[in-house]
Amino acid sequence: MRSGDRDAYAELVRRHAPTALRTAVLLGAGSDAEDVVQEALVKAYRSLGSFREGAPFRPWLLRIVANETRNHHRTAVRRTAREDRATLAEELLDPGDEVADREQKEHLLAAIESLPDRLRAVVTCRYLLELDERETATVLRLPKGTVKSRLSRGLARLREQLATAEVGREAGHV
Amino acid sequence: MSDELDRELRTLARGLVTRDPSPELAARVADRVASLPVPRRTVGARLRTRAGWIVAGIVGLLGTTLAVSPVGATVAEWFGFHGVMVREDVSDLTGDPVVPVEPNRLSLEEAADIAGFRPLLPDAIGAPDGISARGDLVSLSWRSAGGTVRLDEFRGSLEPTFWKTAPDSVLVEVDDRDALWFPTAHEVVVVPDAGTPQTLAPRLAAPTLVWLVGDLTLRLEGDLTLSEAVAFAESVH
Repeated sequence: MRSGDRDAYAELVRRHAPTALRTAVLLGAGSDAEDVVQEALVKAYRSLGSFREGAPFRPWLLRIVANETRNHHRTAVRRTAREDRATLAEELLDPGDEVADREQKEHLLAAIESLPDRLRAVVTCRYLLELDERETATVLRLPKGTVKSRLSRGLARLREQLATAEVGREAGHV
Repeated sequence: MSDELDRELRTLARGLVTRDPSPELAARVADRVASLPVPRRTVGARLRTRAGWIVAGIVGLLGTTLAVSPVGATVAEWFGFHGVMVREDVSDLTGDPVVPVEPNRLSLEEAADIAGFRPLLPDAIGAPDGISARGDLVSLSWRSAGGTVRLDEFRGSLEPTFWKTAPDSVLVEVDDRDALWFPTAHEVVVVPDAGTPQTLAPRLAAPTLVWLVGDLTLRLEGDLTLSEAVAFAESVH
């Protein structure tokens, strides 16, 4: 291997590992996220030969990360959804947030987490990972039209859930 | 309501704290990758896109073999420099680089009509002596006692406009954003309208800085030091 290539790949790892890790965490790799990312980065290197020249690199890499996260899910012992949610909020929310802010974010995060898998993945990529629709389509291996429709269904569900939760909270306060 | 949810989601995303990868991650990946063979671009991947077709065409033109390591060939894409492809190699061309002067003197408006965007100008230097536009590429040049300086501007697309063969390229910063610096003479092939066979002959380019402003890719070439080039680049708006 040419040393230039090794340096170039090291640079690539340095630049993309944080986003890759965030992707793995948000897509549900939990505490194994770093192992998932390590596996994905090695697989990405192996697959460089089939990387379509001129295509954007980041969505291509995140697609491998997403796939690796799914594989991991299949083999790992699943924690309960409730445990996952608690861990995710604990891990991802800033402890410095105001209590009210934090509660609002916890609700939103919990609402996203309770979406059906297909909708949750699209909402997570589009909003939490801040990818555009085309990148989301690449990462999740979906047609762009499917991303659009799942996104609008996902958002509609979130609105319903949040509205119900709001009513519930207000009722509780009365 | 829709706006409110949208805003809440964005606020949530911005406020999320993700731990940094551990320092061992990069080292572990490097170890595992070091024992693997260098990945070679497959014929299918090469032919799948017009860009791939151009690579084959250009490499044929240069009379070298297609030993483009995808690691080197995609380096520009990793850094997001649309329209510029870099091959890490030593060029066959020898001699002193000559920076081409733009013979035309279009007005900025005329250039904007052809290229579809208004060219950006540097404050660091006066009005250009030459302005040309072909396809979606605008080129400006300045002649001075110290030699010619040229600035190429184009809207970045997936299809590369500049193909560079350089033994060394360095990642630097312009206005806190990534830029690529080619400190030594290197070979450049320009495909003004990416995807067509209309290719200019390869030539030896002087030191070059490549950076992005919005969706434009800018390429500054001249007998400049890195700090001169960065000062010039940071005055462009």
